[in-house]
Amino acid sequence: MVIDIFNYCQIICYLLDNIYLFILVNEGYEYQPHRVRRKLQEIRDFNEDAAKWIDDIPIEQWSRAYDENRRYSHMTTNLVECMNGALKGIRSLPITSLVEATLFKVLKWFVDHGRQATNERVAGHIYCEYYRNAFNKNKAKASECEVIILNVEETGFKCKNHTIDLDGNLVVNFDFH
Amino acid sequence: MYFHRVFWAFKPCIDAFRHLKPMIQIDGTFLYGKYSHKLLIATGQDGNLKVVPLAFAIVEEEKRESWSFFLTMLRRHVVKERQVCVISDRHGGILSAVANDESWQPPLGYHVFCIRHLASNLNTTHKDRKAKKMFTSAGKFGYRHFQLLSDYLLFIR
Repeated sequence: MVIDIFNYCQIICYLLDNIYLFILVNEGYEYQPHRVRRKLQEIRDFNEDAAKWIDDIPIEQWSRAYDENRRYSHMTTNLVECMNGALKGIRSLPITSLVEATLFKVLKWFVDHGRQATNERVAGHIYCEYYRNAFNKNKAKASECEVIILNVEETGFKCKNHTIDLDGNLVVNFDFH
Repeated sequence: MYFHRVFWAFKPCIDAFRHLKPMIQIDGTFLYGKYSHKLLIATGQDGNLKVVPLAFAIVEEEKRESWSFFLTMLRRHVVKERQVCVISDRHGGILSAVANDESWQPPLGYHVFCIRHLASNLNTTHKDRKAKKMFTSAGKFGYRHFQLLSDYLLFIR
């Protein structure tokens, strides 16, 4: 069983007759054009020039609701800003030294992260830290779930997540096939 | 003889890239000291949410030719044939460099903008802080949903 752990997935697991059913699901964002349109209308009512300026930019280039999860939820260039911060000390160096300094930084990065990955493997972990945390979180939720198997061969199933609110009413949170 | 431009990327970063999310963030920044050159950086992120440096370049200034040089080199040596999404600010140099390069247009490359840069552009052109805030929140709309990957089902007793 090979799982592309670099895919941005979140793991949900459900407990079912002593069998854990592990499901890797893609974490995505719902297509919500109506909410974006409503907000745009609000901006238009408030400041028409600003709304016109926004209209010039194609909506799929700035809205998460329209981008089909290509951005992996990254709305900003924060990762580059991190890198700028990390290189702050060496940006005053002459060019050849600067190139060399980035080499050492990258080397250190790979040594550190390689060591971390090796340690995790030696400790017997299959998945990286992020997945383990997601997995444990969802495992805790699993006890609240009810799974109805529809078709084992085609892995068809139905899942209900019940919670009881303060008034004692049963609330079904989600239900997916 | 004088210095023109330089692009560099390290082998481990190039090898790592195909295991990262198909998303790249690019931006330019100043050099301190005696140079007036700009340092261009491309970064990615792995599945464990760690930032990975991908490529660097030092160019004379942020204009079409220099961004074009950086993006061409990035495509040739790091990204190769992979389909990626590029996040950047809305700098004129990047816009025309992307417009003139087929390898950075759909279906191979999708160019999108950083909402924070856009919102601050909106604020400088229209001097309107409230519109800026509304625009940022409009960009971020979307809620989590789960989509089943049936290939990744396993049973463990």
